[in-house]
Amino acid sequence: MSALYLRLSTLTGLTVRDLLRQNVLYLILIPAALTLLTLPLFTALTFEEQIKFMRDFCYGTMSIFGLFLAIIATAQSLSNDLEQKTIFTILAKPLNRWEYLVSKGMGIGLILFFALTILTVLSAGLFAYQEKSLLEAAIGNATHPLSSQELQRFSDQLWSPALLMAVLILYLKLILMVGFTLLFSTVASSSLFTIFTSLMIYLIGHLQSTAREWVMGSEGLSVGMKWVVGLLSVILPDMSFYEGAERILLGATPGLSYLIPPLGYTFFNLLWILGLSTWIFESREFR
Amino acid sequence: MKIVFCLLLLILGFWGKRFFEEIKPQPELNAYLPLGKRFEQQLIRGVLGGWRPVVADIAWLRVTTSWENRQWNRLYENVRIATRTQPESLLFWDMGAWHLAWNASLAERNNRLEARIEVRKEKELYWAEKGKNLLEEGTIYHPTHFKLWLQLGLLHQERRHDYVSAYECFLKSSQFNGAPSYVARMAGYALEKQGDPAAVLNYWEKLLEKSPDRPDRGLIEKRLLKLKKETTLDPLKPIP
Amino acid sequence: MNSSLSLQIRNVQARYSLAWNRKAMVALDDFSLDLKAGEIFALLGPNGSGKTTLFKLILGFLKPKQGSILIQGEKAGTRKARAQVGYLPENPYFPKYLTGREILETYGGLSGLSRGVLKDRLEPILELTQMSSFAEKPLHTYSKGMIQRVSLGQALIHDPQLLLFDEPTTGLDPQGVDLMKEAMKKLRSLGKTILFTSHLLEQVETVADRIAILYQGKKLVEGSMNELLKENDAATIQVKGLSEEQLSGVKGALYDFGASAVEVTPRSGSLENLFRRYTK
Ligand SMILES: Nc1ncnc2c1ncn2[C@@H]1O[C@H](COP(=O)(O)OP(=O)(O)OP(=O)(O)O)[C@@H](O)[C@H]1O
Ligand SMILES: [Mg+2]
Repeated sequence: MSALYLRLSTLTGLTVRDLLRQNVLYLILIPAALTLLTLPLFTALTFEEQIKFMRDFCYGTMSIFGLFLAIIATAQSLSNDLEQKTIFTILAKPLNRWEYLVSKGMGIGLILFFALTILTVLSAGLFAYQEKSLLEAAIGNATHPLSSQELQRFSDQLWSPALLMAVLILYLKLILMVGFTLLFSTVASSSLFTIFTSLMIYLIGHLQSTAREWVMGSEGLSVGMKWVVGLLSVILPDMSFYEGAERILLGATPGLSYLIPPLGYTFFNLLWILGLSTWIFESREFR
Repeated sequence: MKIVFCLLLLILGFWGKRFFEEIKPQPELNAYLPLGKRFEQQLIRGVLGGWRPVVADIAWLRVTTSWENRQWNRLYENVRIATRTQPESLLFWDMGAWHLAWNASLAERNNRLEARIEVRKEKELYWAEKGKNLLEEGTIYHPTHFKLWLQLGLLHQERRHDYVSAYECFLKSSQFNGAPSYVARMAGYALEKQGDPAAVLNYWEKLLEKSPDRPDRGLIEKRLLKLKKETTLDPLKPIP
Repeated sequence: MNSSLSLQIRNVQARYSLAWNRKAMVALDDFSLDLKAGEIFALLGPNGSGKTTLFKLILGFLKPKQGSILIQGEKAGTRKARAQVGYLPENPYFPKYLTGREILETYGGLSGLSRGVLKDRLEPILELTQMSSFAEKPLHTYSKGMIQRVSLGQALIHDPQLLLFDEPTTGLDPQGVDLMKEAMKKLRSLGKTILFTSHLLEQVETVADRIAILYQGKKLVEGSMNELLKENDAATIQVKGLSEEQLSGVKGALYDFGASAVEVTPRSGSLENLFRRYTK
């Protein structure tokens, strides 16, 4: 058991070091940070609009760049091992191939966590800066003086702890994409194919629950077609599980139990993805 | 051996996934929409990813600048973009309709550059209608939120002087969670404008009966007293 | 099945099928081999004869189309089998930014070794491979010889019984070759089994107990060094201090004894010896 832990932690650490040394991380993280820094350039009319925009902008930046990081880093990580042939020395050691896949996933998971943490902290800094400058402007405005109640409400909305939950839900969504990308990497030989397929899956994942309802509800389709769609929906992810994050951005302040559906959904998806990708990876030859 | 383990993982994973799909709460925002609209929404979500609300927000910033520059058509276009890309944001419907039915409409009415009164009048009505249509579409996305119904009621009452529709909207709004107590009173006032004292008295009394511990009970009782006095002074109408 | 054998290969065939091309290329055909504990076996063969392919089969990277491979009685490719195999690849397939010591530690960790065990393993390996002087520098600053020593070290880190060295001496200077040979002899004395490949014949001679020659995926000969190189009726005579005339006299005398072919050439030191003397 502890030998398993040692193997997993060593390869996870190696994956993290690998990614930290690669350009991908910085090529994504730095533009993300720069994008965030443009936040003060946008000023809206009302506090309500201002808060909405700040939330949306920071979350949007995290989610787009996070998605790219999740998919590209995962695809690169595996294809680099194949291209540089380090896989020949790694898999020559007594570790199982599923351990290799799990460690890769965990390493990228850590990197994503690190990236989202940085972006969250940066966002918080920008929130504080915006809060200060907006309040100063509002206090200086003689024609529309703000009551202290209004100011308090503004601060409370800005610093809603539920926003951290939204980031957590985003993290789960990205982890699911890491899983799918790993699955595709086990069959693919080029990372471009993997990246493209993963992006497609991301898009289809948003459509699938509605599409399934549509197909299942429509009259004209044959039973065979419905079977195909049903089968596809077993494999394809349902991204509507992660819509909770958007609801939080719109002002919802749910309890922690709100995390259970996305958490459970991500976990069980990772299970079958691990089963299938191990199966494929075990039978794969390296030449 | 390994294959068996993989299969086990696969089955367990699919089972758990199904389980969560079954217990998944209906997405609040889209549950009322027809499938076609829902599909469109998901497509926008997928393509724009996390930038979807940001795209809507940027359109919204353009709404604000259009308002400042009195570019009403540009304002309208951007309101549409914002509401299309993120219809679940109440703000866009609410403020968008206000921009159209009040800001644009009134600006056209007071437009000194246009000499012909009829043209001004026509434009005023045009934007009021746009605002009304926008709010009506908004209630498809937010059928159970008091705010849009309230706004729609106000719009009917203030901009279109249609008290029947206003009454209906206020009444609807007052029945939803979170509606302030004055919404129910506004329904009553709109009813009064329709000139049926019996129905009005009936409305106020029912309101008190239904929720006896309303914060505005005193106000309503005073109103009832005054209305009863007025109706008894009218010899043509029988007391209900 | 004989589990006392370190390696047992039975009638193995390996094929490479090229993508989009249905014609498969047979890289190894009907190959069998038995290795006992504590022997050094050299696999000789020209480029492309299938040596590396055989190693990939033993490590489980390729799956044999026919036949079977057992390592210490375990099926090739399983985790238990790989625990008994140390692999020195023909090119340095390692993360280049790690230092020599980190490579040893990382590959030890990948084998499931705890810090404590690793610490005990590290010292003897650093000594055997003589890499202490550069162990703290990153791999991309290494020369070919240094890399090869790190490569050797990581192959030994989990203390496997069977060692696969793919062209361990190619590109090394004579001292490097010596170090590798000494290491191999030392490992043999510890009871390890070594299977290595080479196409440099003179380097094989001095260490290998047995050899086989592979050509186009087929094993041509196999046997012990003595068996294969001994020519019973041929001998070399070395003399010093004789003049040309005296030498031709000796030649004549040999013919008188009944020799069928006599060749007398003045002895010259081998190029290898010369190189050694100057680069000592
Ligand atoms: N990945 C591969 N795909 C297709 N064919 C390959 C692959 N690797 C090797 N081959 C072919 O298999 C044959 C054996 O190759 P192998 O690498 O085993 O030779 P080798 O004896 O190790 O040669 P060298 O001395 O050059 O290392 C060669 O003809 C080669 O072309
Ligand atoms: Mg080779």
